Amino acid sequence: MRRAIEGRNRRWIGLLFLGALVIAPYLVRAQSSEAFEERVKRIGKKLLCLCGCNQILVECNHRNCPFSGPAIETLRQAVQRYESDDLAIQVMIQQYGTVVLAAPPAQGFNLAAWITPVAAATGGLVLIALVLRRWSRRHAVTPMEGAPIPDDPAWRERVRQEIEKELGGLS
Amino acid sequence: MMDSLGSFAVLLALTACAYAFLAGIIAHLKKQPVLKATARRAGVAIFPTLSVAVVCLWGLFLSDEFSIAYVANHSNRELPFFYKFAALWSGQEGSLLFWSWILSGYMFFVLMAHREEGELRPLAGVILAGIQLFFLILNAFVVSPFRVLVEVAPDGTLRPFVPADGRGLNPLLQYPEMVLHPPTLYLGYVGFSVPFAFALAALIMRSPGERWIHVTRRWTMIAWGFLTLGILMGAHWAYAVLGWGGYWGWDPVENASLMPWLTGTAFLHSVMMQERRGMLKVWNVWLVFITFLLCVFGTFLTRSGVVSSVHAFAQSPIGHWFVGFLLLVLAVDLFFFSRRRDYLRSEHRLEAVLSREASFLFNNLVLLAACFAVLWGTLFPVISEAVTGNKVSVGPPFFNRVNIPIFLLLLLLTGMGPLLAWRRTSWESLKRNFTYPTLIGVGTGVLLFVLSVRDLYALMAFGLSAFVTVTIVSEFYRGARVIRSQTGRTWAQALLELVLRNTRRYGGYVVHFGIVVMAIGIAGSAFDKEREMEMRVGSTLELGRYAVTLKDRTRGETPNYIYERLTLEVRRGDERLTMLAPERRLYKASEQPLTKVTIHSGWREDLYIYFAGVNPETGLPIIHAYVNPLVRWLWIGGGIVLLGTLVALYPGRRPMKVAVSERAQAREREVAYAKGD
Repeated sequence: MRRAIEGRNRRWIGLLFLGALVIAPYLVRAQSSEAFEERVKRIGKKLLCLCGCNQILVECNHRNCPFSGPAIETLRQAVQRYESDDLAIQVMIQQYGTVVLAAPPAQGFNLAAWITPVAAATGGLVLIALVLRRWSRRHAVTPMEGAPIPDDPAWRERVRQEIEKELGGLS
Repeated sequence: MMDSLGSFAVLLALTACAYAFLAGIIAHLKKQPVLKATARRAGVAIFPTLSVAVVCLWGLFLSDEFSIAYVANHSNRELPFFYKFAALWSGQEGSLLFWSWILSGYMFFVLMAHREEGELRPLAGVILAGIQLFFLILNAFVVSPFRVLVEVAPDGTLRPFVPADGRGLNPLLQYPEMVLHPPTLYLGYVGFSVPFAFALAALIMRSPGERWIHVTRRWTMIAWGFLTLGILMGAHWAYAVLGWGGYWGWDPVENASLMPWLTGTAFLHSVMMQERRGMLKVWNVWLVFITFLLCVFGTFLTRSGVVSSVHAFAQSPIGHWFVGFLLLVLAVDLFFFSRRRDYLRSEHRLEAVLSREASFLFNNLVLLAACFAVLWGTLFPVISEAVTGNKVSVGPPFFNRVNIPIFLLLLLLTGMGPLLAWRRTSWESLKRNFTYPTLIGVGTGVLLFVLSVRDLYALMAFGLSAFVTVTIVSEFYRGARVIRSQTGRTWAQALLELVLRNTRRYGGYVVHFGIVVMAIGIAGSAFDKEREMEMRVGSTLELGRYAVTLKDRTRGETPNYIYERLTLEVRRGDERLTMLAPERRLYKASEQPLTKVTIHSGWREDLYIYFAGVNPETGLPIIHAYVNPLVRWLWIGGGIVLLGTLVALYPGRRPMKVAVSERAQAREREVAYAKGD
C-alpha cells in the first residue's frame, strides 16, 4: 500500500518537474520581455521627442507623430543589440544628434547648463552672507542698550501703535 | 463694415494713447494742469474705444465673416458659439488685441480710481500709456486682426477672397477651460504693468512716504492672483486635454508664465520689509521691474518662435519688436534708477541672522534662484547653439533635477519665516516655536519610510508639508486663543475675528497652506503607474487597484467632428466604480485629430484613461491608462491659494475694543495717558 502511494507521488513529482521544464522557457522569455520593455522605457525617459511637442520620447502621444514612432523603434533595436544603456543612448545620438537627449550632457560647454544655476545660487548666498555680516557689524557699533528711553507721550503712542500693528491687535 | 469699424477703433485708440503719453510727459515737465487733465481723459478714452474694436472682432467671428483672414484661420461655421467667442484670443493678432484691451481696462481703472495718490497717478497713467502705445502700434500696423483675406488673381494682382468655410479652431483649444485660461493668464501678465507703472512713477518723482509701495503691493497681489489662476488652469488643461498623464512639462511657454510668478512672489514677501522697516528699497523696485520685464519676455518667447513649444504661436517678425521694447524698458529703468538711487536708501539695517527679515532675504534668494534656473534652462538651447553651433535640448529631467531641491528649500522657509520675529529671534523662542513642528515633520517622514515610501524627494516633501502645516495651525491657534481669552467667543468666531483683524497676514498663511497642499499633490507624482494595452470588447486591463473592461466601441458624427468612442467599465475589487468613455475625434474643418481623455478622480488617486490609437495590423484600440496619486490635492491646493489671496486683498478691520481684562484696561489707561487725557 505504502509503496503504491510512494509510486503515485513520484509520478506526480515527475509530472510537475516535466511541466516546469516546459513552462520555464516561456516564463524566462516573458520575464526578459518585461525587463526589455522596462529598459526601453527607462532609456526612453532620458530622450526627447523632436516633433516640437517637447515631451519625453516614450511619453509622446501624438497620433502619427513623425518622430517618436521611428525613434522608439530605433531605440528598441539599440536596446536589443547592446547590453549597456550608454551604448544604446550613443546609437540614438549618432542617429539624431545630441539634441535628442532630454537634458544636456555634463561635458564641454554643456557643463555650464548644470553648473550655472548652482553657481548663481551659491553666489547669491555668499552675497547675502556678506551683506548680513556688514550690516551686523554696523549694527554692533550702534548702541542698542543703555540708550535713554524718551519720556515723550507721542513717542510712547507711536511704539504702542507699532506693537498693535505687528500683532494684529492681539497684544 | 465691422472690420472697417474695428480698424478705425484701433487707430483712434492709438491716437488717444499717443496723446495721453506725449501730453502727459509735457504736462509733467512743464507742470501744466490743463494739459494733464486732457492727457488723463485721453487715457480714459482708450478702453471704450478698444472695446469697440474687440466687439467688432467678436461680431466678425459670430457672423462667420471669412473674408477676414483672422476669422477664416481660426473659426468655421460649425464651431460652437462658446468657442467662437474664445477664438478671439486663439491666434497672434487677436490675442495681441485682447492684450491691449485688458491693458486699457487696467489703465481705465487706475485713472478713474486712485485719486488719493495725487501726482503719482497721472505719471503712472503716462507710463501705462507708453506701454499701451507699443501694443497698439502692433495692433494697428504689424499684426492687425482686421486684415482682409486676399488671393493672387491670374493677372498677378491681389484680390479679395472669401472661402466657403473657415479652417476652424485648433481642436486642442476646443475645451471649456481654454475659454477662461488665456484671459486669466493675460490678466496676470498685463496686471504686472500697473505695479511697474507705480514703482517707476514713484522713482521718477521721488514720491514721499510709503503710500506708493502699498499701492504697488496691492496691484501686484491682484496680478499675482490672476497669474496663479491662469497657470493652474493651464496645468489642468494640459492634464485633461493633452493626454500624456501629466500637468507640467517644463515647456518654454509654461516656464514663461512661471518666471514672473516667482519674482512676483519674491516681491510680495520682500515688500513687507520695506513697509515695516524701510529696508530693501532698491531690491523691491528691481523686483517689480524684473517681473514686468519677464512678462514681456514671456510674450516674446511665445510669439517670436525663438524656442520650440507646442503652445507657441507661429514664427513671426513680431519678435524683433519685443526685443526692442524689452531693451527700451530696461534702458528707462536703468536711467531712472541711476538718477534716483539716493531715494532708495534703506532706513534700517538687518540686526540679526535669526530674524524675519533674514528669512525673507533667503526666501527671495531661493525664489530668484528658481527663476534663474528656469530662465537658464529655457534659454540654454539657444545659448549653446550660439556658442558651440550644436543644438541641445533641455527637457523635464534637467528642470526637475535643478528645481526640486530649490522648491523643497522654499517649502522649508515657508514654515520657518512666520515663526521668526522681526528684528531678532532669541534661541529660547526659536526652540519653543520649532520643537513641535520639527518633531512632527521628521516623524511624518520616518512614518512614511516605515510604510515603504522610498522616494527621497517625496519623503522630504511630505515631511516638510507636515512641518509647515503645524507652524500655520499653531499661528492660527495662538491668535484665536488670545481672542477667546479676551472676548469669550467660540473658536470659530475667534478664528474669523482673527483673520478679519489682519487679513493680509492670515490670508498669507492660507496661501502658504495652499502651497503645502499643492506640494503634497506634486509629490504624489513620484508614485505614478501606467500601462498600455491593446483591447478587444470584453477584455480587461488591470492597473493598481483598478480593472478596466472594454464594453463597447462606437463611431459617430457631430456637425463639428467625427468620433470613435470606447465605453469602459471601471471596477475596484467587486465594486463597479464608474463608466468612462474616451474618444478619438477628427475635426472636419481643420482636419486635425484630438483624443478626449477621461479621468476618474479621487482623493487618493486619479485613474486617467487615454485612447492612444488603433493597431493598424489588428484594428484593435490601444488604451493607455495611468494611476496618478494625489493629483486632486494639487487643484484643491491651488483653490486654497486663490482663497488666501482674496482674504489678503480684503481690507482688514481695526481690532475690536474689548475692555474685559485688566490688561486691556491697563492698556486703555496707557493710551489715555499718551493722548494726554
